[in-house]
Parts: sequence; structure tokens; C-alpha cells
Amino acid sequence: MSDFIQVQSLKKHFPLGGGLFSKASAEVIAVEEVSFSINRGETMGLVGESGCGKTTIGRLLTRVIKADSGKAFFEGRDILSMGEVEFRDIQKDIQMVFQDPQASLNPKMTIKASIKEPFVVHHMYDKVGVDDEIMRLIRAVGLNPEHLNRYPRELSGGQQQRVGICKAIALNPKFLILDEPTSSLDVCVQAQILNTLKAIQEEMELTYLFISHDLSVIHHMSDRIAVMYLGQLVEMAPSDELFDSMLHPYTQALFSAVPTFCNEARRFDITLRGDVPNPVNPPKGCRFHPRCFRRAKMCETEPPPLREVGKGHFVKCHALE
Amino acid sequence: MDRVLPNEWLLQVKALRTKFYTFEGELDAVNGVDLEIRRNESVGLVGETGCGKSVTALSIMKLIQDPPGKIVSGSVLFKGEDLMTKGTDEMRAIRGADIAMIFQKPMSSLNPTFRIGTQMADVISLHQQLGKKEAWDRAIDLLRSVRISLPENVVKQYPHELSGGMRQRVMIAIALSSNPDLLIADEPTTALDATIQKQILTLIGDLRREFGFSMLFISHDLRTVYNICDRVYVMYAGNIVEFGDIESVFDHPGHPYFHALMNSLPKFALKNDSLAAIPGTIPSLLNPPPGCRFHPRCALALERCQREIPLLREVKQDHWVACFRAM
Amino acid sequence: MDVGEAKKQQLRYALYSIRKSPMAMIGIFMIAIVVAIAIFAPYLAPHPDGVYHVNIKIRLQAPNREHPCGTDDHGRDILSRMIFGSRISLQVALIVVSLATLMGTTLGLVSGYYGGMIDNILMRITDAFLAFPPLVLALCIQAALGPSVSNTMIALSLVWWTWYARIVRGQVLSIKEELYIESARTMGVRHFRIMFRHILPNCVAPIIVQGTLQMGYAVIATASLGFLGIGAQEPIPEWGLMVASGRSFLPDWWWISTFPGFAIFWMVLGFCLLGDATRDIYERS
Repeated sequence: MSDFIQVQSLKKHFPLGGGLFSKASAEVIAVEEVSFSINRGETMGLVGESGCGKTTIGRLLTRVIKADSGKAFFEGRDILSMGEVEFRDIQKDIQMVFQDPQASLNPKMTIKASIKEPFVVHHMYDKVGVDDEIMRLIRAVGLNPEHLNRYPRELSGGQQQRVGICKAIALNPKFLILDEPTSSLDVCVQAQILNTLKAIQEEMELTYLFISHDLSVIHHMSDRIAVMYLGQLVEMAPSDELFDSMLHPYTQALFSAVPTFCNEARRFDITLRGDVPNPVNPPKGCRFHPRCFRRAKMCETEPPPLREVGKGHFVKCHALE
Repeated sequence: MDRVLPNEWLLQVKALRTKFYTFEGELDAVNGVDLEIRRNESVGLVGETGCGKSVTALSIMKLIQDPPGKIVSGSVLFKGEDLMTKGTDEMRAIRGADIAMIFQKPMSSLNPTFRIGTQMADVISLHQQLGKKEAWDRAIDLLRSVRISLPENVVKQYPHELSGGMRQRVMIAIALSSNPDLLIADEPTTALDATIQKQILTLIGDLRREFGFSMLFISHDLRTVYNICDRVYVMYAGNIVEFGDIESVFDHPGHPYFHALMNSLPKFALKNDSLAAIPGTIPSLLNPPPGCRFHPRCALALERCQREIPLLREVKQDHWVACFRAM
Repeated sequence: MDVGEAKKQQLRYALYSIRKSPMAMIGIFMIAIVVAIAIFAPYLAPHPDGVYHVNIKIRLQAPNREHPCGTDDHGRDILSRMIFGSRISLQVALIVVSLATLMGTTLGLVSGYYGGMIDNILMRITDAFLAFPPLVLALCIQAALGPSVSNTMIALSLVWWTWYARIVRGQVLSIKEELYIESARTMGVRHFRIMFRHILPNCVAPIIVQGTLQMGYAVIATASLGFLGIGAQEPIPEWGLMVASGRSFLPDWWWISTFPGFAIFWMVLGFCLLGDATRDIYERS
């Protein structure tokens, strides 16, 4: 339990087909019964492959898409059930940095206009004050004043992402959702951006939800890590604990899918068979069972519960009993 | 990682230069590249976006669009013959048959309006004189060899009905249909999920052992390259800055760029507060810095580095570095 | 704060594209001439008072030194009438396209952005308008409102807004899924501002292309309605009307219809080439 962020039983389905006069023929189960908490000041890593629902969770928390059910408490208040007007007050505190830096910037707005937008929108527009604030922000993320008059396409990927970070921290948020912020960037730029993110986290006392498919980046950035598979949380633990003793078969397979360098220990070498199943018709029982190398009869019919097996270490698997 | 003992040279690229003529000016995409691949060898070509690795591969295959690009000079000796002297028809016969290529996004390489079987049969009958029925049968065989279950069903499907991993397997099957000597793979697994990536890479390794082809594996993912290649070439801003035996290069990088790049990767072994990032950004290829193109960002730069371009020299057995201060 | 390198670069590239396309240069030249003529009409017309002043003595004169395009059956100088007529055609074209763009763009924005019921209703209304052949609909509206140039403008606008609504709605549907729109919503930008400040600037290209092309159609439509007698009325020197009035004098007194006809051709061709050029520029950038 946490007094900062507490998500309970979050659920989101996307209907397929259907229209004005017919019901949806099928549903994509994007997020199912996901619960977790984030403490103030920490970085929670959310890792999984495509279609696991990690990006959807981010968008549910910013209310860009509407959850089907579940609660998300932010400093004690359920942000999912609030009205639009009430949420607008809190909106400044929860911001997002997006995956594709170029696509997240309006191609017809200069960088300065893009960064100024949050101030204009929240009526914090005091001409002299805002300009100074913008200067301070761009310095904090490592940009130069000459970038302000440019358009997004004139900047490199790394610079574009810095602008994205600028926009997100402009209003002094408390919680930042980072949706694969470095996935489309080159390796050396990635290092720069990750360093910048760590620096501003400390400076501004931010809390991060760091979403990624890259285990090495997640390991570097996160205090706690949650692993998702096909819409569900399958394992969650403090970062060191997870890497020392990962218990869920999927986590082990995911980790062994990362090629290692010679000075990195490899403990598992698991190659999963088969493809990632269709989220429209997820397997019955444990969703991972068709590809699981430790499956038992029970796994085909009974969904496993999420149980605490160590301090702060949760696993959703029958094989541990 | 099995290492088959390589023997003779399959591909020898010498002094390759490719330029792009754009509205903003002349771009030196490939600036004098030498590259060699032996038989049965897996060679990696690594570098970041814009370093010229894809352009190098396309230049080897003579697939550069003219305009705006142009292979300005250099030779590409494939099995002893210079591809630069070959005409369009001769190249067409070589592409797909002797040298095959697979790309990053398999969806873009497959025609969405044709069935898998039709597309495969098209390519198969292009290079081998087979009738329609035989081509289809061969397609089914090939799909089986890339570990697709129930290939008889898959041949009848359309590309959008398959997953990313399956499509990439189909691309590999098409590429191997004429038993090529060389497979050029340009970021083949970058767009795939981690667990699927592992499947595909394992498959490629198995197929290499089975069919005995050489591979030029282009990627910015250093981890993958380390695990799948025997030798590696590192490119920066159009130049090869380091190359050699993979373990030697990765474990003891000689060029300051590659050394810094390896240091800036988040690793599983230790947890740092900050990563050793390389300052600055990749230079513009329109106006590259004089001398060594890395010198503006190099912690070890000398005055000499601003004037002269360092040449590749052998610093250890099968380990070459282009730097005056090779470490 | 200076305009920035980007804008200058954009302009340079636009001029470069134009210079590369001979059609574009011709189109711009043709329209520039018409605009110049319209602006300096009183100075260019050889007989400015001959536009309306009836002078039976010099009627039906073939083209000569005094009257380079001849005179019509009322003795009015055709060249002067053509020159002043350019003002009318340009005026109508500009106003019709402006009104249609304004109405159509706003409706298209709202329809595409909100979707749902609003979209359905607005699109069905658009469908209703589009079901009629454009000129027929304009004809009916004019007939209801009465014949005059200003009613022509209203009629054409009421028919043509639908094209813009459709185009803009299509653009909005794809733009609203873009990441920068999601970013704006996450920041708390309200719907109105998202529509006009974030989405609209990205829709501008096809609107401008369509608008330029439609200027040509507006000229033709005005001329057609004038020709049919339900647009401009005598004695206004509208080109279509001039062609119509010269109809009964063909083929002996050919100049009365031919020269205004040529003027229509010139202007429409000019706008079409200009429209193509605009489209090429936007496609290339």
C-alpha cells in the first residue's frame, strides 16, 4: 500500500467490430486486474513485450483512455472516477513523456511554442515570468536557446526527446509516466537522456513510472519492477530482488532473451516456443500456460492468484506451490 | 556459438564511396569503406543511425537509387568478380540467388495483396526453372525448414494474417530459397519482441550451420551482434573505425568511440547512478569535421586528429583500429 | 525573436520547387497578369467610360486601332469591358472560395474531432448537398434568391463548402490520432484549442491546394451562370454575360463572344496551373 499512487484492479477491454446497430463481436483484453503501488520518489519499472498492456496502463493513468473498471488513487483520491473539472486540477501533477519523440511534437509549432503551451493552457501566462521559466527548463534538460526558434524536424531524436521532457516538467508535476522514452533513440543518445532523467528526478523530487521492453534499461533506472504478460501482472519485486531471484517462468524467459556480454552472468537459457498469443482470445487458466516450460494440469484451467512470496515480491504462478 | 572454420574470401569491398546529392548539398554517406567476408563466416556491421551501414549494404547490392544517390568509386569483389562492373541483368541474376537480403520490417517487404505462397513461388521460379506446382511445393519445404508449423496452411495465407515473427521467418525462407552464398540481414530482429527475437536468431544460427552461408549482420544492437557474429566492423559517420575478431573488439575496444559506446550501455553487472554518455551528437554528413570525424567528441583528441584522417592499423591479431591513440 | 532558419529554408525550397516547374511559372505569370489588370483597370482600359456608356454610332465595329477588341451591339468597347470584368471574376472567385473554406473547414473540424452523432448529422447534410450536381444546385438557389453577382457568390459558397468539409474531416480523423495531439490532451489543452491551434495548422496544405484550384472553377461557374442569364445582369461587364450577349451575333461579329471567352480560358487555365504547382510544392515538402 502506498499513500502516493495505488492502482487497484485496473481493467480495460477494447471491443472489436460492432457499430451503430450491432454489438461488438470480440474484445481485446488489454489490461486485466492490474494492481500495484508506487511510493513517492521511487521509479517503478513496467516491462513486457508488445501487446502486454504496459502502454495502455500509462494512458489509463493520464485518462487519455477511459478505464472499464478499477481505481487509481493519487495522493488518496481516485483519479479514475473524478469528473473532468475536478481532474483538471490534478492534471498538472501527472504528465507523460512519449515513445516517439518526433511524433509527440506538433510539426507546425516552434519548440518555444510547444514548451509554452502548458503555461498558456493553465493560465499561468505572465509574459516575463514564462520566458525566464522556459530558459530555465531548457537548460535543465540540456538544450540551447537557439533550439527554441526551430521546428521539430530540424532537431535530432535526442533533442526532440529533451523537448518532450521539457513539456512534461514545465508545470512542475509530481508524477511522470515515461513510455519507452529511449526506445527509438540511438545508444549514445539513450545514455544522455537516461542521465538527464535521473538528474531531474533528483532535482525536482519526481516519481517515475518507467515503461520499457528493454530489460537492461529497466534494471538501470528502476527501484521496483513489474513484469506484464498479455494484460496481466505476472511478477513484481524490488529491482535487485527480481534480478537475483526471478521466479515466474515468463520473467526467466524474458531475461534469457536478452543477449549478454561476456562479463554478464547468464543464469537461464530459455527459448520460448510458439508466438505471442492473440490478445483477442487469451488462453484459459493461466495466460502463459501454452508457452510455459513448467506447466501443470492445473495451469490450463485455473488462473493463478497473485501472491506475495517474499518482502514486496509478488508472483502469479501455480508452479511455486 | 559454433565456429565453422572459414577459408577463402567470399566478399571483398575496397574503398567504397557512396554519395547522396540533395537540395542541401552533398552527403558523404559511405566514405571509403573496406570490408571482407569469408565463406561460412558471420560478420557484424554496427553503428548508430546515420553512420552509413545500411547504405553500405545497399551499395554492395547496387540498390542505391540514382538520383539522389550514387556509388562514386570502389570495387565489390564477390567470388572474385567485381559487381561494380556488372550490368543490370547480371545483378538481377545475382540478387536473390547468390546474395540475398532481409530487412527490418517484414511487413513492408511482403506484398499485402498476394498470398505467401504466390510471393514465394514468384521468387523461386525467378531463379530456378521450376513450374508452378513445383515452386509451391518448394515453398512449403522452405517454410518447414524455417520451423513454421503447418506450412501447407501458411502458404495460403496473406501477410497481415501472420505475426511479425512468422513474417520474418517467411522472409528468411525466401532469402534462402536459392541457396545463396551470402545473406545480408539489415536489422532483421529490431522490430520484434525480445522472446521472438531470440527464436529468430537461434533459427538463423541453426540455418547457417545447416546451409553453410555467410552472413553480413547489420545492427545497432550490440548485444545481439556479440552473440551471433564471428567478426565485426564498427562504423562511424561513414567510416570504418574499428574491426576484427568479435571478442577482441568487444572486450577490449581500441577506438575511443567504440570504447565510449560500450561504456554507455546499461549493463546487468553493476548498477551506476549515471551512464558514461558520449558528449555531443553525430556529425552532419553534409559538413563533416576535418580529419578524424570523431575528434570533436573525443576525450583523447590530439591536434593531429583535426588535420589528418587516421588509417586502420592492426593493433592486435585480427583487430584493427583507425586512431592515432588506439588504446 | 527572429523568424528562424526553418521558415527561410521553407521559403527557399518553395521557390526552388516553383522554379523547377515550368507549368508553375506559367500559372503564376498568367494569374499575376489578371491581378495586375484588375488592380490597374481604370488606367489600362482605353475607354473607361465606354464600359457602360451606350453609343449606337460605333456599334458592332470590328477590332481596330481605336477598339482593339471591337465594340458590341451597344457600341461599348469590348476590351475595356473585359478589363473591368476581370475585377468581377476575381472578386467572385476570392469571396466564394473564402466563404466556402471558412464554413467547410469549421464544420469539417468539428465533425471530425467530435465524431459520433455530430459527425453523423453533419456528414449526412454534406451528403445531401453533394448529391446534387453543383451547378444545378447553384441554379436553384440563385433562382430563389434572384439574379445578381452577390447572389451568385452566396449560391456557390453554399454549394462548395461541402468539399472542404469532407477534406478537412478526413484530415482531422487521422491527425487526431497523432501522438502530439495525445500530448496536448495530457497537458490539459481544451477541445477548442486542440481543434484550432493544434489540428488546423496541420490541415492547411490540402485546403490551400483545393482553394487555388477552386478559384478557377469559381470563374467558370460564375461565367456559366452569367451565360445562362441568372447571374450577373446587364449592363455589368461580366465575362460570361458578355459571351452570352454575343451569341446571336455569331459568326459574323465573332469578336463579341470570342474575346471574353478567351479571357475566361486564360484565367481558369492560370488557376489550374497554379493549383497544380501548389500541390506539387506541398507534396515535395
